[in-house]
Amino acid sequence: MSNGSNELEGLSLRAHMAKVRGRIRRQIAQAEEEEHEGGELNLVPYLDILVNTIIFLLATTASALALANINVNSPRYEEPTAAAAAAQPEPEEAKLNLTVAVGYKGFIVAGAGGVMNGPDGQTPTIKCSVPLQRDRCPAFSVTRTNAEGQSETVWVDKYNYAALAKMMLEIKQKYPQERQVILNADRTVPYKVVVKAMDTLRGTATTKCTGKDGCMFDQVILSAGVQ
Amino acid sequence: MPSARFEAKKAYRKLRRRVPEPEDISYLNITPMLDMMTIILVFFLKSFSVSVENISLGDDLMLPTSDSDVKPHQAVQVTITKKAIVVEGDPVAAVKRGAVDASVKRDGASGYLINPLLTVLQKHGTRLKKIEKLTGGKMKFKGELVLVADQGLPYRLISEVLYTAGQAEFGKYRLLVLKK
Repeated sequence: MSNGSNELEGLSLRAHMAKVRGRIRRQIAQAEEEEHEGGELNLVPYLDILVNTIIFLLATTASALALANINVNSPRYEEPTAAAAAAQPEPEEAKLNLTVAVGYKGFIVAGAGGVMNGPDGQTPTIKCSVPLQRDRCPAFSVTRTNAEGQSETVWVDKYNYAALAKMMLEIKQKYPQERQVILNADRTVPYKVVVKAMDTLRGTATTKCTGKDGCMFDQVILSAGVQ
Repeated sequence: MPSARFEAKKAYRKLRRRVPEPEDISYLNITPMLDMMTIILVFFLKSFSVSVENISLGDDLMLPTSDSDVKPHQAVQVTITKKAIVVEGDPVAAVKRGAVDASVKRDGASGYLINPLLTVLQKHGTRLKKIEKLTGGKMKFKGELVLVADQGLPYRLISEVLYTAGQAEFGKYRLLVLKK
């Protein structure tokens, strides 16, 4: 009797356990299924793309060039209208009409009074800082091989910018209101020299233009070459 | 006998522990991060599409350096490299040894006006004036031109390009330079 009841009990226990196991298996399966089909998109690949693109964009911004502008104007020939003539009476002081030419031999400075001569009584006004080579002030680029065997471009530029800056400061002190300068250059003068001459004419400051803050002639008008 | 039932319940509880709790955080919620990233990406793309600084420098195009502090801004861009004159990405004339060929100039070798450049710039001028008209003067045509030129080019070529631009009513030149 006791044996039989034990067997019976063991049997029913096994059956019960099997039932429980089945239930649990179903529950696990259901939980897993819910996890898989939770109704949410898998955003991880999208996130990978986003992170990569942002890093790429940031890297390209970091290496971006520091650029600036120099504002210049073309000469304007406007017919003076009656209204404009009435509104702007002739100024007392004559216009300076400062003109700086980047010549082959040096800077030529001219104004309303005429061309300024150099210390020796001849043009150019500001001579080259070294003796002329082939009748020209050396300003060119040379490509040469450096110590590491790589070719590099070196600029030779012997125009006397310091003397030009000094002369411009003197002119600015005499004509503090004047901001305009007409700039031209000879045919084959490199663009780099022209830009550097503009920098020299402008001085060191860009905000105001009184001559005391370092700003000299910032309103550049480009005109065609003299030769 | 209660023991069998007790045993079963015990086994059930034991197995039950293996089922993950539904409240458990099994993954991070990445949606807010994704929102943020998308906004940053759109911002970057937008700021890139309007930047002037989209020029590639190389042997044929090296900008002069300057200590100017004026920020560059958007305008019709004319690029002069050692090999070509390019307007807004379209090549218009070839450059050889620092000069354009005499045949494309109106007055031959001694002339200033470069014919194909004038045509292209006039087209841009017409387009910008049309925009001004359509926006009711909000986007004014100021005649601004950004000049991107190689530092070694002779002044003669630069002045030829600027003269041509002046003929096409672009009279305000913005020379693009590298900051020192």
